[in-house]
Amino acid sequence: MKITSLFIQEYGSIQNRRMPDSGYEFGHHLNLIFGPNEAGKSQIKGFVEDILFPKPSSRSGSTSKAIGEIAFEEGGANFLLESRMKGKSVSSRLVTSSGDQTTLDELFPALKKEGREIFANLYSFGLDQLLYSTTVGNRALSEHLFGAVVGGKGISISSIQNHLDDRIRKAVGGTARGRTLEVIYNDLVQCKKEIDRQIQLELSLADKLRSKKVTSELIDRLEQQLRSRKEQFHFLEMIQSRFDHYHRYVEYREFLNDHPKLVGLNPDIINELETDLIQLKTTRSNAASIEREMRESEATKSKLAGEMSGLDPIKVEAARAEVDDLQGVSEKISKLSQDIESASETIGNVLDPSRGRVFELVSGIDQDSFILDNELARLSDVRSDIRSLEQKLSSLGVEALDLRKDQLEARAVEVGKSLELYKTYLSTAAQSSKQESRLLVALALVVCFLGAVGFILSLGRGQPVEYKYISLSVAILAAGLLVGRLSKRVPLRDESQDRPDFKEESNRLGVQASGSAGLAEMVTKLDREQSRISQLIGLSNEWEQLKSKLKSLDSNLDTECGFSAIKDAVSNLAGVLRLAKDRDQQIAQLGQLQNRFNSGFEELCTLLSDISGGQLDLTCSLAIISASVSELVNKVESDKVYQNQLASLDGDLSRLNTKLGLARQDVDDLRVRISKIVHKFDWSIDDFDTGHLKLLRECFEAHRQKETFENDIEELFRARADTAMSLFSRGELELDNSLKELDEIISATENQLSDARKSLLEVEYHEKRLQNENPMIDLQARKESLLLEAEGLLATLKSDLLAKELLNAANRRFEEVHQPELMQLTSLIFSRITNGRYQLVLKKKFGDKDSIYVRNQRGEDLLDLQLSRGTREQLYLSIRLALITRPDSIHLPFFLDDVMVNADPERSYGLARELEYISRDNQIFYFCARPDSLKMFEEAGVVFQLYQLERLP
Amino acid sequence: MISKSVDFKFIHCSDLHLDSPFRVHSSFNSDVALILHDAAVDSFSALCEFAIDEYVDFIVISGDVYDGIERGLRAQLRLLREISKLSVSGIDVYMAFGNHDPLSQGGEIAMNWPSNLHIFPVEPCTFPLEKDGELYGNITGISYRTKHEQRNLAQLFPDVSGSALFEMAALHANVGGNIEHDNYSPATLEDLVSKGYDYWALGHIHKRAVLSESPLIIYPGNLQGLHMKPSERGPKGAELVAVGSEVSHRFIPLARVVFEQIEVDLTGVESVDLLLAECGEKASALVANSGAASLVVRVHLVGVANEDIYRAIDDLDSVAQTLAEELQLNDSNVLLEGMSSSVMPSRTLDDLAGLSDVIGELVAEIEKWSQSDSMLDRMMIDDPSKKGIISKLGRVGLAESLKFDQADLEAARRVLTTLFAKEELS
Repeated sequence: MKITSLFIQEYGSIQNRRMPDSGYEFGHHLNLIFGPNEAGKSQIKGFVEDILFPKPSSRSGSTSKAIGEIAFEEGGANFLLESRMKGKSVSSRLVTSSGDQTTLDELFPALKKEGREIFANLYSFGLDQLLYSTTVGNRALSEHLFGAVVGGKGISISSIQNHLDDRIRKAVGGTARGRTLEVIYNDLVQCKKEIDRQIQLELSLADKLRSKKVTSELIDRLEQQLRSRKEQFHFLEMIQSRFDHYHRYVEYREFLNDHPKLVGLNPDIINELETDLIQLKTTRSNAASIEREMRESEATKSKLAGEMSGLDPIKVEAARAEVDDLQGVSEKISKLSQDIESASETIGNVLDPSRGRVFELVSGIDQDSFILDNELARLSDVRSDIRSLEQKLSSLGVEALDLRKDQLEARAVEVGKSLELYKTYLSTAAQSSKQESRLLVALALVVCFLGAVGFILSLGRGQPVEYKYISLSVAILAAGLLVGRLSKRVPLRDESQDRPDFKEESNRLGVQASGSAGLAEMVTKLDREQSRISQLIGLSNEWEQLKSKLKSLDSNLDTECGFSAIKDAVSNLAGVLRLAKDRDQQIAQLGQLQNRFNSGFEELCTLLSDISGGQLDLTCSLAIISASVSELVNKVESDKVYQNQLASLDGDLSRLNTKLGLARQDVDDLRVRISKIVHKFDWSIDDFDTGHLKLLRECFEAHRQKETFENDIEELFRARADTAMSLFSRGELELDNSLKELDEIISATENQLSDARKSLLEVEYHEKRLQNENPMIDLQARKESLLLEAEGLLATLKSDLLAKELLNAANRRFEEVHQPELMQLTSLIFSRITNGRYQLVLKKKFGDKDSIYVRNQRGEDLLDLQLSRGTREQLYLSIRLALITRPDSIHLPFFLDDVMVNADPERSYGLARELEYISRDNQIFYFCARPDSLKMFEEAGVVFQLYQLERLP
Repeated sequence: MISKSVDFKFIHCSDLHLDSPFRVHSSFNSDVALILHDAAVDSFSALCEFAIDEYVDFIVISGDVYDGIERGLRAQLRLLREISKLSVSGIDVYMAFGNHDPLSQGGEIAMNWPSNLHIFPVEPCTFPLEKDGELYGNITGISYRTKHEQRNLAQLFPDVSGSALFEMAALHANVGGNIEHDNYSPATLEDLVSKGYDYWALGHIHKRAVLSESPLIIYPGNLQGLHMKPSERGPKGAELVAVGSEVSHRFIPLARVVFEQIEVDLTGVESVDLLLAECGEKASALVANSGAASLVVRVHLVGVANEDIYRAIDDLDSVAQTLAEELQLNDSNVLLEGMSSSVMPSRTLDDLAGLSDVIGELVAEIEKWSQSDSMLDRMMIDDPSKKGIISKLGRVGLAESLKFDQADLEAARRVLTTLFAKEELS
């Protein structure tokens, strides 16, 4: 279709505009419609859309209507499409130049469906529609873009790609044991570090192994040195340890020089002297002690003699016994007096009131004797009644009134009810019996009569003989029944026997007969039982009355006559009288005791007067006398003790005297012995003391020590005795210094030795360990194993990566080759427009959706959305241009509304040239408002036809 | 033909690597590490014991006595102990050092080696061979001064052509340019032959090789295998040489632990049980033949597996774990070190092309990559942890493992085939 002219009678704000002017036609190729804003460019574009493909709303007249006409050429023929108002709606018609009418659908069957949508999106658009891409759902475009079969037949390559990705992820994720390359690398690094460390260790060990022999020799040398120095040290140490001895040795030697007489002293003599001296001292001390003891005993003896009382112990004992006896009597008297006093008081308090009360009670009884007689008489009557009642019960066959009155009454009611019921039954039975009997008799008479008649008739002629017999039999039977009933042999039905309790009741009452006879017997027995229960109820009432009477009488006798009070009062009175009698006996006993006390007291006084020689005051009480007697008794006891002590002291004195004599003798003996010895040393026995003894001992010790030391030196050092003595003589300080010096040397040697031994041990340990272990080879084996593991993992990774690369490359190639025709055309156009910057336009999946990608010069595929706005506009323009240049495309005019404003000059020129190229086969209307656009077309050197528009009024 | 008046015997060994770490997956089976721990030194002890039992006259060790320049102390002590034992038996030891234990960098202890040990210095040195006071030969040898010995040391050896005595040479060198080993002291067979020695006791190549019978030029291989590489697999030991009117030599297996790889073809194997049984049978057969105290095996699966088996061996660690347990149950001397697989699924990517149009492109892409190493060279592993671990791993000896090669491409092809096959089944 190539539009030759337009006439817009009415559309939007445009009215009666013809384009181009009359007599002119639009160019069949590139037409530029240039006009400022508000010149109606968009309305012209809209008019063409609406008149060619009216909107449904436009047909109903609800929106702006396109009224006018379009003249166009198609397939060499001219057509006029008119759109006129008809009433309120718009009608259009398409007529050929010959005046025939046709439709656009007939001309373009492909646009029959959704023609407007296809035109508006693919053939007529501005920038806004241009970017309305497949990714946002332009269905018309999408179908044209992706409608072609892409990817060929067969299975999903993406599934294989996903599998490969999984494998790569697994390979990257690690081995079957979950070890990743990173883990293996870290292990390798660690392993290498350990190997380096082990190498260092072995190098150091190798040095040590090399020096092993030197070390062993050093150890031997050091050990030898150490032994020698230790021996020397030991020698000096021994000398040092005897330095104290040496000093003492020197002192003693000097001491002996000072006491030549004491040289050669026998140690036994010193011991003997020492023993004697100690013994002498002890013996003297013993003698002095004995003397002191004797003096003390004498003093005690005289003191005891002065303290004795001289009382007669027999008399004092007799007085003490008498006092004890009198104290017993006195206690009894005292107790009796208290009892008597107490009894008197009780008798006085109780006796008189009791007498009064007894009297009062007895008088009361006298006065009420009449009442008492009456009550007793009534009691007798009641007893008589009870006996009578018992007889009645006996006559009724009841042993005791074991039924309670209320139970009897309940039973009476129950029996009464049964009686009434059975009486009713009996009466009903009698009545029924009578009626039935009458009926039966009547029936029997009728049958008998009929039988007789029959028989008589059968006797007539011609009747079979059977009639005779039958009628005779009926008559006889009916007669028999009649006789039986009259003789009451035929029983009648009784309703009472239907009751469930009838049998139980008849058993209880012992009724044997059945039927009405049994019923009658039961009525009789029940009647009898009812009368017996009535009697029992009467007796029960009587019994209760009697019980009430007895209770009343008992109460009267007690309250009215006061028998209990009298009994209590008399009992109290008798007790008091018994108490009075006992008191009188106690009073008599008290008199006897007092007599006995008086006579005893006199005797005691006499005795005490005799003992004390009349010095005791006997006018005092028995208690004071008792205390005095106790004191006398104590004195007598003391005298006995003193006497025993005196006797003992006499014995002691005698013994002490003997001992003293012996001690004095010992002292003399010892003095003689000691003086004999000390005389040798020119000492007097009187001057000799422990000081001398000490001197003797020191002298002996000096002698002994001197000998010991000399022997010790001789024995210890033998060959070196002179050296030792020389060292002694050189002095202790010098020896100390030598020892310190030697000690330091030994210590240093020991340290050296210890280090050397440690070193040797370490070497030996490692040497031994190396025999059994080989850490280096273990580490290296581990390293090799890790390398192998990594190699394996890398090999898998490489094969998978390579597989992926191969598959992707194959797939890309396939996609490139098998792109839809539209895409291939688009690629050519887009590549030309972008001057080769983008070489391919591809249809690919983005996620699940078909999307458009472009491949840049680097071979990178970019999603359309990743492109700049201008480039994207050019891409979609290229797609549309490709669309209209396809061989099978519908050649509708192409309406472009200033779609190059965002393109840089270079691409604008390219676009302009592309439009010119395409317009060879397709009519293009390019609307622009800016002079720059116009200029650009001119500069691009393209051929176009220009139409200028004025701003609408 | 050598005509000498004295008969003698000697043992030629090399590459003891006494303190060598064993490159095995000890994390998979801890017993493996335990067994290997002492294997190298124990093998050397076995050698000395054998020498004493055989009344050999001397032992020559052609370098790489120790594994590292630091020379493990334990190895030295063990060596000292064993050489002392040999000394008691009157057996001399002639020892050269190689690239692993060059003399100038050695951390050897200056210990009092017994007088029966003779160490070759860094210049050619000749020791006389005597028996009961009678000189019957000479042994000339040289030790490495530094690890990277690039000189042709063989050329330094004196020419002994025409000597009436038995002339021996001990050298640690790569004769003939073996590409599996570093090319230290490179020499040619002609270099050796031209010097006129009766016996070249070589070291450095771990796989036993008799380069020449006349004169005898022998690599005895290393005494104890160190890992699972092909050169380390199989019986390892020393060469016993008897010299009399004739010279005879034979290999003596002495390694305490033997590394072996079992190859199991899964083509036609229908269940995992059968797979395990197959592995067990092959392991048992190896044990019977090895004569070693212990056998450390790796199972390598090959062939074309059916879908079930192919899916089962996708989790190779689990299969290996089961197999390890079964092997242990059957024979405690057999230890599974690991399991590897180059099994192909029963269908290739081409077979699966019908699954997706993309597969066609994929096959073309793989083909393109397989044609050019430069594409693989450009491939880098993105650091998954974003902590620079990948580059760090490159600095701890894994730089080579980070590079992509054709094996990775092949593995990637297997991965893709597996995934597409799985996808088809699902």
